[in-house]
Amino acid sequence: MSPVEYVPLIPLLPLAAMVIIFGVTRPLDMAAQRRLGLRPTGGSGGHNTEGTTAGHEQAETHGPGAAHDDSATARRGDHDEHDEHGGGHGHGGVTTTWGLIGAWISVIAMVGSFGLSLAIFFQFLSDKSLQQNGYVAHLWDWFSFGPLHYIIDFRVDTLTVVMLIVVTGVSMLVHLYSIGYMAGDLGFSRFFMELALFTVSMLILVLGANILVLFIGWELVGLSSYLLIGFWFDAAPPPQGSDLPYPPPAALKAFVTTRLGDFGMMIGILMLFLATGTFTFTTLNTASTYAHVDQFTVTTAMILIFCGAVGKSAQFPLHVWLPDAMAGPTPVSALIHAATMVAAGVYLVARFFPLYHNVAGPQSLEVVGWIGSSTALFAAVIALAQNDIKKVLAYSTISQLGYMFVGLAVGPDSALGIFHLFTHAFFKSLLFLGSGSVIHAVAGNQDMRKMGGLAKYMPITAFTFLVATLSISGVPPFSGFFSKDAIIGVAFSYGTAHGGAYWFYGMTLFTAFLTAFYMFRLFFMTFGGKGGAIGGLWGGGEQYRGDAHPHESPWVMTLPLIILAFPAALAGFWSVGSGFASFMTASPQVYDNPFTDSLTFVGVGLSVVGIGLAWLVYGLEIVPARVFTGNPLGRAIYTVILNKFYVDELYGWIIKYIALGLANGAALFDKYIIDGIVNGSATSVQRIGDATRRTETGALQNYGAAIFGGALIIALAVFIATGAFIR
Amino acid sequence: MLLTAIVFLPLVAGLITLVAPDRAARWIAAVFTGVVFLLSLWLYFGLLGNGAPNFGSVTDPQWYIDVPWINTAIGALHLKVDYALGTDGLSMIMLILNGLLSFLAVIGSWRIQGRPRFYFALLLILETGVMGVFAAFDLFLFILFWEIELVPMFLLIGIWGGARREYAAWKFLIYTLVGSAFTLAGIFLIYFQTGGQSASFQHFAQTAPTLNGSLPFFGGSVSLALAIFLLLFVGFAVKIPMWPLHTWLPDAHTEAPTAVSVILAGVLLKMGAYGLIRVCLGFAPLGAQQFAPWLGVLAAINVLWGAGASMVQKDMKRMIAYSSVSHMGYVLLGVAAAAAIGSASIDYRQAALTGATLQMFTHGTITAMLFFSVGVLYDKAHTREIDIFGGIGKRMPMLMLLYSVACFAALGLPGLSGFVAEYLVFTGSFATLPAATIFAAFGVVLTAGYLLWMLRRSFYGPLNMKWDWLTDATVREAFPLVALAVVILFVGIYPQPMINLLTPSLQQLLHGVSGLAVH
Amino acid sequence: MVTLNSFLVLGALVFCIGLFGALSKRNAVAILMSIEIMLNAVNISLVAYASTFQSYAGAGHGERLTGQIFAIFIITVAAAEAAVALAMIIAIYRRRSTIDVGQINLMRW
Repeated sequence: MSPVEYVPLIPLLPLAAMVIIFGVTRPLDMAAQRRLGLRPTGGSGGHNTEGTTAGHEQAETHGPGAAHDDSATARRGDHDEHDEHGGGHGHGGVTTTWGLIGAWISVIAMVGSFGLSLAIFFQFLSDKSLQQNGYVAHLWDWFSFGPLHYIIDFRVDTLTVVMLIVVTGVSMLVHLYSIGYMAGDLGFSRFFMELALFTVSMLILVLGANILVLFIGWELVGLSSYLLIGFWFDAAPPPQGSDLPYPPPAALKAFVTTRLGDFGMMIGILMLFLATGTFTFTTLNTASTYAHVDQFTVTTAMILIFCGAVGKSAQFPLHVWLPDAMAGPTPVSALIHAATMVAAGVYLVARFFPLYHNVAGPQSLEVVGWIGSSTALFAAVIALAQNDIKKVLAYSTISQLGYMFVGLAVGPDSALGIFHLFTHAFFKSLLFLGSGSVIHAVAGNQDMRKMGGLAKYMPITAFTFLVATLSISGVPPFSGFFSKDAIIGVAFSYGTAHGGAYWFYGMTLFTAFLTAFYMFRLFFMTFGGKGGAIGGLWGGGEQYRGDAHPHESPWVMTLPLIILAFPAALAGFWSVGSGFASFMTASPQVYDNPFTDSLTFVGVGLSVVGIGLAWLVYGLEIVPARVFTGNPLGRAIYTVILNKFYVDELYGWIIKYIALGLANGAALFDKYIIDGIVNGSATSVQRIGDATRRTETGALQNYGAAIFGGALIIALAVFIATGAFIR
Repeated sequence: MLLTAIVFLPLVAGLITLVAPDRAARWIAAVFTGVVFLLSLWLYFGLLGNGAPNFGSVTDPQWYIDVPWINTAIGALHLKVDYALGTDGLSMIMLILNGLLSFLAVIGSWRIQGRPRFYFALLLILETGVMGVFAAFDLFLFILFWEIELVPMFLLIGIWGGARREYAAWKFLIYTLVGSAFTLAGIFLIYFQTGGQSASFQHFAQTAPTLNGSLPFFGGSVSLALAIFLLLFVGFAVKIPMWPLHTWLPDAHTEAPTAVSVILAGVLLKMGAYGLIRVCLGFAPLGAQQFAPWLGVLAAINVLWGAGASMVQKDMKRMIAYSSVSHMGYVLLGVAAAAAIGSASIDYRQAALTGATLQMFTHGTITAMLFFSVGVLYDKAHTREIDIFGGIGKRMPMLMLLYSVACFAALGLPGLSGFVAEYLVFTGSFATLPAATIFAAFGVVLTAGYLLWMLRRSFYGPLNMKWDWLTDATVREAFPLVALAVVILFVGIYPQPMINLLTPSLQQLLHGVSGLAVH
Repeated sequence: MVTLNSFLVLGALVFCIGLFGALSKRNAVAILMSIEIMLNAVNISLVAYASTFQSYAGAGHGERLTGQIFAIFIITVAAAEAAVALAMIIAIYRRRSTIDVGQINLMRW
């Protein structure tokens, strides 16, 4: 048996871990927590029996005017379920043995999945026919009607293999990291359960051999992200004026926003299904399937399917959920931003790439390119002004995802975009896990204005973070350079081939400059500062502006950082020569070596300019930041950027006044018009009855008069009608 | 015999309950509804015996019993009513659903206040009425059971309901009665148009679909098939409920006690849908075909209107009631798609109709779960106002989990039954009614919006200290929720048995539809 | 010549006088008297018809006197009726001290 035949095990292992945690270790964990007095013991009686520490803190912070001067306090407000966000020591939670056992089970399961993925990867590397044909694992027939088959199948091809490596690899490290990060949280077991579910969903998504399975994974990813973003479901809202995300609405927003995209995707799927009668990717991606199908239908369907990708991959205009999604614990952010959720959209377009590229009209990929390039630029601009470390990273993710879509739009095959997804997964998860380590070190603070000089305290985190920052900034020879500059380069040749339409090129190029600037701004504000070593790059004690006691994180957290630093730095070399692209397309296709193309160095040069500018402003502090915001115009622009172009406010307005307005209209229509008619007919019957009963005077003479009067009228009528008078 | 037992055992139990001591009433009710549920399961498992079980269709009913009952002739007017009971896949899943929900409703109303004997007796009589509707294979018997069901429901809402119970009970009664008057007229029309010799379903299934002609109507004339369809449909449309005949539902649901809401939303609405499929579509396919585009439009309105109105409700139960309006829209859409004219192959129609039928079952279980969840909360907190809660997930993690499962099932999460039903409807209906499908599919987004927003407002966030004393669901309270969750999960993951069960009867129906062209 | 029509017109006139009295009088006794007048108007018509058609060739032996017999019946019944009605009026007068029908309105809606 070759490794690829065991492919169903890849999602099954984490699924098994999830089931074990749900059924065994979590109940035991909760029982242990109850014995320790960390959880209410349930039963009758209104009051709870919280643990002493948690109970006290709750009592303190529940006072009517409890001061929330510090966001960390506010966040921790009244958790007795999960105190330990950000590693504030000495608060409430203790991780029980059972919790740890469950966590390690899931880590082991992930190691198994990752190992199997690697084995499959190597099998693919050595087996050309497997690369070309892929491998289909038939799981079961869901149901079928005549020619309509709803089948659960897994299919492994090169694209899936790359995704498997990314998903299982990053997820494994995130699991490991979380053991340290989530230590002491009362929801420790629940966290690992949901993390495993997230991984399983994403694996189902990338393994699906047809849209049905993909869509199942797609929706489950939505569910898991909802659960994990809302992990601290009972968190107190952040203080007024703070831009800290708040888990409950963030979870809701993530789910509903992505579902809005799913709506378009579903219609697209239905259109394709109606046109072809199949869900299977291999059939759908074959041009001959569409011999009798109008190209317009396919183009429309593909644009609609792209809507799903816009939602999941947080592209403009559905990007609003992703920055808020960091309300979840930081490992979740790492997973969402690197390996699972947002990668799904890029994967979707890559999966349908032959259809986009060969069958549908050129408009479909142009839409992809426009959305991608404008989002890249738009998000990078917003990232310039953010002060929350995770928010900067969130917008950088949106921006980088834009690059991936541009890569898919301009590339001759899907390798270009997917390679950026591949490298991005490593450096972005490294960035997020690093930021988690930072947040852990500074007691839950996320505001970079209260950081600075952390490099001395946490050298491992700082160094690995620097690697990732260089990588995302596109500095050679780090991985981001290879993937990003390849996209910029191909965007240029795309422009040449399309009659000088260099829009994609220009936008991505300028974004590269912005990316380098804001990433190094982040690095300097967090780890460096004026007066630090190497011109402020490597800060020390004096540069720290917060009031916590920063420290390096435990090994379970730093180990994943160290591991991730290697691919983040080196993964790019896979693309050199006939590497990645030829693996993906199973053909000896060779991209230009980025080092030989002089245009490449325009991008690198701009990145270096960006880094230098950041260095001047935030490292050496030679140029004060006031230069940008001092004048009225600058301040106005800054305010707009700081407020993310008011997109959230606009959507809020639309929901509040238009959507809820229509909804209210419907409800009021029911209440006043429909029920008005119904109740009105009842009351009018009553009224008529009321009026007519007045004729019942009770006086027989009146009745007699009516009888004879009536007889008279009838007689007259008969006479007139029969003409008796005339005769 | 089995069907007779299923239909009348609850009535017998109801009569026993009436004379039993108050404390024994709920036990009697629980035992009998439990037995009836097991018997209804035996309807299915009893047929599984050999390799290729025959689940029957309308022309080939299983567990069939036919006893002549009324047979009078007044001149040329011949009235023949048989006591005919039978099942096919379509009615079987409804019988099982009713058995399950009635049993859970008894468990769920364990602590009912005020005259429990009478309450449980009415609940049992209600079960008889509903079972009769689903088991009847004679159209007059069908409408008889249809009307019988009104009485206990009227009393249950009117006596044990909330503050505006009398208004709600009357509204329910009058709406249904007015609707069923039209249906009765339709029944007489179809009865006499098909010869007036038999009212059995088999007879109609063979003779009625080919009815083609016109009726004089105020000087003009209308298509006979359309007239039959519309007359029959009015009563079913009220019950489903279809916009704009739906406003009795929010009132009735809001005022009814928890278990009665469960039955009302879980089973009674399905009577309308069952009638629509079995009687309207089955016996007047030509009329259904003519009306299908309008039905599609009404379905889309139903979905969006219900979802929109749900979004702005302040009362949890009212919100769920409106969500029922929205979700029953998918049933309408599926039926419309199955009946609509178009080039789509019969497989798409079958997908749509199977989806609609599955939606009947899954909506029954999901909405029951939602109502039970609200009921658990209401029993403790004595309020259902969404905004008054806040962060209670912390005190009721179990309820939060189960409530969330119900919400996610309702919004069509894969792996839960709602997904299978809704997406089957969509794949089927997109072929014949694309525009209506697109509008209706948007309801999926809205459903996610209002359900999760409701969860977010009441269960998420910091605990409102006013509710610090709330305790989690007890085992007795959680039992119906867990049972329904298991059903929802099972159907979501492994829908094949149910589809197999439905296939013969739906195929028989679709032959009636597809074999015809509009004149 | 006094024809049947003359009798019928007389009967109709008397009937209208009685009807007017029955509908317009407020005194119960006067109403009773008006009703008697109406009955007698009918009697006039009956007797007139009977005397006109008694020589009608097609009439059977017993049928020639039908009208007169009817009139006698009516007179008898009217007497009985007057007795009952007067008894009721007296009863009402004892209870309510009035026989004004405008005051007697227990049947009013």
